[in-house]
Parts: sequence; C-alpha cells; structure tokens
Amino acid sequence: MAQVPCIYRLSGVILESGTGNPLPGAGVKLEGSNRLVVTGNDGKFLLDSLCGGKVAIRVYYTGFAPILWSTQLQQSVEIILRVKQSTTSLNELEVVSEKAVNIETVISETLSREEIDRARGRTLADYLKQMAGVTTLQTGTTSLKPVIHGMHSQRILILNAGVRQEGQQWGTEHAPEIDPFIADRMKVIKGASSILYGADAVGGVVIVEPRELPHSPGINAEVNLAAMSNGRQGIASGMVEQHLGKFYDLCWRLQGTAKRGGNVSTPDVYLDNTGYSEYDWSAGLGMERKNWGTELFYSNFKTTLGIFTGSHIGNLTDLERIIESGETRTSNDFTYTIGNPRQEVVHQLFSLKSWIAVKDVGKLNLQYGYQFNHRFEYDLHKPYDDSLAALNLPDMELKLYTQTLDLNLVTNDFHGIVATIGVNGLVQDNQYDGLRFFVPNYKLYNGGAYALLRYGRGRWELEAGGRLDVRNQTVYRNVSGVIIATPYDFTNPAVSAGAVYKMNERFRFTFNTGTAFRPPSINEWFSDGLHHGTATYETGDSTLGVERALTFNAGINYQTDKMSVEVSLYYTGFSNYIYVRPDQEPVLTLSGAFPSYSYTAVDARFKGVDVSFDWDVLPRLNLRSRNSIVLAWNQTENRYLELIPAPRFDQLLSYNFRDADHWKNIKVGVSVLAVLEQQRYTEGTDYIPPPPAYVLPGIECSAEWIVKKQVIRLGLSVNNLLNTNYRDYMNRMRYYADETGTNIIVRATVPLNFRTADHHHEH
Amino acid sequence: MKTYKKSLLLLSLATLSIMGCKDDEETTNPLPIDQGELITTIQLLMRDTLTNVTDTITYSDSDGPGGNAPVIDSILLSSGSVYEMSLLLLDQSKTPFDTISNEVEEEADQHLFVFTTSPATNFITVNITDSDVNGNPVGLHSYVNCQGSGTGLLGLVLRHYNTAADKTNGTSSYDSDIDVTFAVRLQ
Repeated sequence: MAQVPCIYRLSGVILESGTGNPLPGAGVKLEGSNRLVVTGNDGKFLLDSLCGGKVAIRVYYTGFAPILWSTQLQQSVEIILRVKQSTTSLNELEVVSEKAVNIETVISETLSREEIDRARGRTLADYLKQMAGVTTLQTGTTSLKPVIHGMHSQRILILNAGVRQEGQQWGTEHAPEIDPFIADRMKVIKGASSILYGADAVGGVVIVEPRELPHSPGINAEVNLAAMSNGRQGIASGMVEQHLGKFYDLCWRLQGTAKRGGNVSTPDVYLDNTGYSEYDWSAGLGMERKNWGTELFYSNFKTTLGIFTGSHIGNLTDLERIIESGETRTSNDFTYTIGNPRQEVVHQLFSLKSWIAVKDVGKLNLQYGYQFNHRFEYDLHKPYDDSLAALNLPDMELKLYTQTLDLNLVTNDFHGIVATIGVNGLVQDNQYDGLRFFVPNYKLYNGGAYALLRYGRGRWELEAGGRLDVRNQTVYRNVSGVIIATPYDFTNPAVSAGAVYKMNERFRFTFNTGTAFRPPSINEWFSDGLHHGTATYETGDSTLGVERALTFNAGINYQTDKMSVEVSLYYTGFSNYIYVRPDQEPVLTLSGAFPSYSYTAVDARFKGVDVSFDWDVLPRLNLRSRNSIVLAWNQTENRYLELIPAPRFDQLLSYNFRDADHWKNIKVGVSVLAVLEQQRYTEGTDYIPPPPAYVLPGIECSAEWIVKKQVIRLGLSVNNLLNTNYRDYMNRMRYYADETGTNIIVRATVPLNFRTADHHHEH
Repeated sequence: MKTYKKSLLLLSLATLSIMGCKDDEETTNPLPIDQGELITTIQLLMRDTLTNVTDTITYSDSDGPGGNAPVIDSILLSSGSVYEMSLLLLDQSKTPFDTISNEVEEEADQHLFVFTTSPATNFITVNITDSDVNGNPVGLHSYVNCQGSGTGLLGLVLRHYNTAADKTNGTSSYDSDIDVTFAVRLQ
C-alpha cells in the first residue's frame, strides 16, 4: 500500500425503509481489521483515520443478511443505507446513496497521523513545514511562524478550533499562540481563500482542529512525552476525556501541556538566553443528540520566550561590527534561566459552538469566540534609574480583545447542489502601553456575509462563491495629551470559482481562481518606533489603502496503489501589496544611526510550484518527497521582493520492517533537506546577501510497541545529523549566529482506552 | 430537554452580554506614552586648564528617536591647550530633568565611553581619568589635549556591557546606548 495519509472518514446513517427512522444498534465492521462500530440512536456510524485506497465494510443487523460494500477512498465519504424488508426472501440491507464529502476546489494538504507524531513537542510552524509550499519565518530559535507560498503574518489566517486566531500576528517575531498537542487535525489551504474566511486569508489558511469529543461511552486518555537533546528540552502533555453514557450524551475533556527548554547550541557555542517555557491547558464540554449538538471550549496558552541576547544591538554601527567580526555572542554555560530580552504571552480562547439539523434544509452552525491576547516584551537593558528598574516594566505591553460570531447554514444536497450561506461578525479592541511607542489603540468592527455554491455531477465538482465585508476601524492616539481618533471605513467584495475534474481513478485535476483583499494592519498604518532586534526604525503610512489580490491555483493529483503525486501551480497578482521598504536616509538618534524603513504599497506578483509525492519504491521502501519553489517580484520597482523562501527540497526514505512480537509499524528512515541559496535578491536591499545553500541529513524512526494490548507509539528523530554550520535566509538571526546543531529527539505517545462499547481507536 | 436547550441559549446570551460589557474606555482614551527613560541630551563641560575658561557643548534630541532631528553644537578649541572634560547625560523629557550620568556612574563597571577622533594624529587626544570599582576606565571625566589646527570630528560611544565581567574581560559589546559625533574646529 502506498503511504497515503490516513485522514479520511467513512460515515453514514442506516435508516428504516418504510418510516425513514434511524436504526440503532447495527454493526459496521471494517474489513481486514478488527474495527467494529455500532450505530447510535441516530442510526449513525463513523470510521475515522482511514487510509486512502480500497476500503470495504460489512454491515450487520439482526434478522438481516449482512452486506459487503466497498469503495476506492480518495476523500471522506458519507453513505446512506436503507433496510429493505422482503416477504419472499431474507431481509436485505442496501446502500442507497454514496456521497463524497469535502471534495474541495482549493489546493490543500492535511497532515497524517504519522506526520503529526513526527513533529510532537515542537512548535505549530514545525508541524506545518512538513507540507509542500509551507516554510517558516524565524526570529531566533523560539519564535517560528508558518509561511505559505512565501506569505506570512497578517496574510495567513489561522483557524483554531473554528475561531480565527487573533494575536498580534503582524509582528514577524510573534509566533502563533497555539498548543499543537490540542490538535488532532492540521490542514493548510494553500492560496487565497477569502470567501469563507474573509480578509487576511490572502496567502492561505491554517486549520487547527481539536479532536472531536468521544462519540461512545467510556474514558480515554493520552500521554505524550518528548525530550530533545539540543536545549535539553522536556515536553509532557496529557489528555483525559469521558463520554458519560448514551443517556446523557454528555462528554468532557481536560488537556494540558508543559514544555521547558534551555539555551540551545550551534555546532560551536551555546546561544545566550534562548530558553523558553510554555504551559498550556484546555477544557471541553459537549453534548450531542440526533438533531443538535453543543460544545464549550476553553484554552489557555502561556509562554515565555528568551530572545538571543546577541541579537540585541544598539545601532547600525553595532550591526555592521557584528557582521564584520563574524563573532557570535555566547554564554559559557547551559542554563534554563530566561533573562532579558524576552517575550511573555498569554492567549486565552473561549468558544461556544452549537449546531442544529433543520429538517429538509440542512445544518445550522453557530459559534461564538472570545479571545484575549496579552503580550509583554522586555528589552535587554533595564532603565538606568534604580527605582524605575525595580518596577521591571515591559517595554511594550499589547492587549488584544476579540469577539467573533459565526453563523452559517450548510444545506442538504439538493439535486447535486450544496450551498453554504453565512454571516460573521468581529469586534476587536487593541490596547498598547509601554516605555516606547510602537502601535496605537484601535477599535474594530467587521461584518461579513457570504455564499458558496457547490455542484457535483459525474466527474465534475464545481464551486462558486461571493462575499461582502464591511469594516469600521477607529485608531486612537494620544498626541501631547490630545486624543486623536482616525476612522477608517472599508467595503470589500470578493468572488471565487473553482472546479475539480476526476478523469479516472488515478487522475484528478483541480483549478480555482478568486479575488482577495486585506485592509492594512495597525503596524502598516501607524508603527513608529525602534526595533532593537533588527536595529531598524519603522514608520507606518496612515494613508495606505486595501491590498487586493487576484489568484489562480491549479493542481494535478495522481494516485495509484504504489504512488501518490500532487503537483500544484499558483499565481497571485497583487495591487497595493503593502511592504516595508528601506529609506534613503537613516534616522539619526542620540544612540546612533538607524536604518529607516517605511511602509509602502507596490504592485507585486507571486508564482510558484509545489511538488509532493509518496512512492513505494519497493514493497517496504517508501520515498516521501516535498518540494517547493516560490518566485516573487516587485513590479512597481522592478526588483525582487525581500524575505521570500529559497527553493526547498525535503525527502524522506523509510523502510518498513516486518512486524515482530510486540512490535508493529517499525519504520527506519533517512531524511535529506536541501535548501538552495536565494538567488532572487536585489543587491543592497539587505545588510548581508542571503546565506549559501545547505543540505541537512537526518534520521526518522518510529514504531508501535504493544505491551499487554496497550499500544505505545515511539519515535526517534535526529535533526542536523552531521552538526552542520549553516544559516537560513528566513531566520532574522542569520546576522548574528548559526542555526542550531544536532538535535536528538525521542518521543512516546500512550493512548489509553477504557471504552466499554466499541474498541476502535488504535490508530 | 426543552429546559436544557433554553438554559443553553440563556447561557450563550449571558456570555455575549458579559463579554460585550467590557469597559472600552481604555481603548478610546489612550494615555500618553510615558517614554520611560530617554537620554535626550549630552553636555560636554569643557574647562581650559590654561585659561580656566569654561564652555558647554550640547547634543540635544528633546523628543527622543524619530520626530524632530537632533540639535548639535560644534566644538571650538584652542590649539596647545589641555581641556578638562566632564560628561553630563540628561533626560529633559522629564520635569525636573533626570540626570542619567549619575546612574551611569553608579553602574560604571558595566559602562565605557569610547572616544574616537579624526584626523587620528596631530589633532586632539582624549585621555580618560576616572575608573570603576574594578580599576577599568569609564570616561565621564577626561583630559583633551589639542595639537595642530584645522577641522575634524570627535565621536563618542557609550558601550553598555551585559556584565561587569564582560567589561573587564574586554568581551565585545555590540550594544551602544549613545553614539554621537561632534564637529571640531581647532585654532
């Protein structure tokens, strides 16, 4: 079997022929495994985490002849079975409808269970960069942001448990505040996806979904442990959940994660103040009945990130001296202590989500989300004044309060047409305080309405949608004691269209096009201050207008038993692409000269290609390959856009050993990551040219160890196996230090099952 | 079951109203940014040891980084003279003024003024006279010897070391709190 991601669901409902009532208590067995599920009161069943390829189920019901049904699974499928009572012969069950769900006309990728396991203990961006077309933007070793097709920060939307994540995402050193251990499913939509998600989804959407609350009675738990040699990091995460039984249909879950790491090291030296700590917890409570369900969710993310002291510099002259000397500021010792400069962030999310099935219409979903993002940033030096220093005030304190409300209706299939109609609202308060000014306060109201129609017939799946957003944002500044309120109003339409053509079982073609928009973020309008990490003085432009994009994506998907290949091409043309550009004159201050950067809008284009494949070279030997190239061009000024990821080629060759006593799925692999030098660089646009290409070999091993029916999933990874010295263009620390050296990671996942009814979760 | 649904609805309404009542005064009435501590002014207090004539040279950027450009005095010195120079660092954005040089003196073991002159020879030389607890130079007080004539530059950098040990060991400091240049005329 080709190693395709085991992410598909086979779900369905069994109905009584005459009355149309659901049939509880029918058994659905997955052929070739011991997985058996029983339909609930609503007649529904669900088999999840299925691998692609041929899947067969056998359905049993007392008094009826069992039936066998099979399909070639290329996406999640929903089926309807009907009981057929016969007077002449044995009663029969029959499948009356088979409907593919989630055939999307967007280009997307979902991480498999194995890929999720491989990244356990690392940051969200580390999980996502396993996908083709996804890279990271780093500030040091602790702060990583996902980059999709060369776009990041405010151009990427992250949906966390259904709620759009609102932190200070404009900051290139502000990593998303999400505990990846919560996630059961991580998906990236590559390319603009404004219709359903609204502004900000210009570059793509990251969807992080917690696992569903349990569907059948019993208690489940999971323990995750990981340790990493570089930085002597330790990570522990645990989860316990319970379904209180059929009568209440009530379930709850508690989950928590603790992470701690000290100074990391390059092949040569420890990097001073690169430790971090993170403590997260979440709780869920849900109830689901035949026609409605509701769920409460709360998560609390708290992190302290040390920032490499060697990257804090006084002025441009200091930076030039560092680059010239090639010296790395070091600490002699390893320590877990986190000093200044550092960031402290607490992100809280509360969500209330409900759905109701409206007879003969569809499913109505409602979700309310409340988020509070509280960020503190501390500079390296405390004030000279002892009494001020004793207060230990942050140099910046940012508070962001966001409330979101989403209401949508997904209609039933009506002659092949499924419509999604929705509205969403957002209210946001930004508050700034600090020892030096950076961004002002604002209050933001955004309302959006959208409709997306999908029509499926035969080999074709067609999709078209439209959206309208109205935004009112008022910026409040205190200028010498006078409050100045600057209002902004925007009304933005967006449209999209897409198609999927399934030529045969092997080939599938996907195409989509659409418009996207993004109003400027607060820093693009009003930032005015020093960035000590980069020794720059940034000035916003309060007259900047909406950024608009027109995007085209095309994908070819080829799938056989031995191979799965996906090639996707994209083109995005921007008008009014907002970016920060170096000015001619530096800003002169008493602490020296600082290069001055100001925000400006240009016309730009992004194009590129992602190629990924999974190929069974030999029956037990698999090659996994993820490759991406992005080309970006500033059309107004006829030069390359800065800080675009270099071509990247990521390969993993793994051998699957035969199962032995107590050991299953034993895989030993060798990985090679090659990143080229960014040749598309305009001389003089950076202090130093992009660093040279690098090749990093690594090791990836995993296995399942079975101890008295208990499965323990084990993993071992070695990154930067040869302890290579290298620097990466997408890491802002490249001026100051090499990337980290060899890192050995060991992982263990223990899923515990105290289920009473069925036993289907070993996956 | 009906009551359960109703209570859920009530709960959600309550949540909305609680969250909605958050005081937004804080958003619409931002406080002025307390610039914390700024060094707005450097004064070079010069005393000609021959004539006892004193002069004050000022570099001032009263609104801090950005905004208005700094105002910089130039220095006029007599050839052949030796000047006693003391540095005064002020935060003039505060009332009363805050004298930052006193704080530098307190933390002298982590600070060092580095003077550069151009042309390098036959012009002016700066000799630091004060030292910190570890016997290392500080630079708040110095003598300026003047030779030759013409115009040139006097550069002044205040290096801020992470620790006193870094200063003693001569570990490179890439953190300059002050970096200014004065035009000098020697006659």
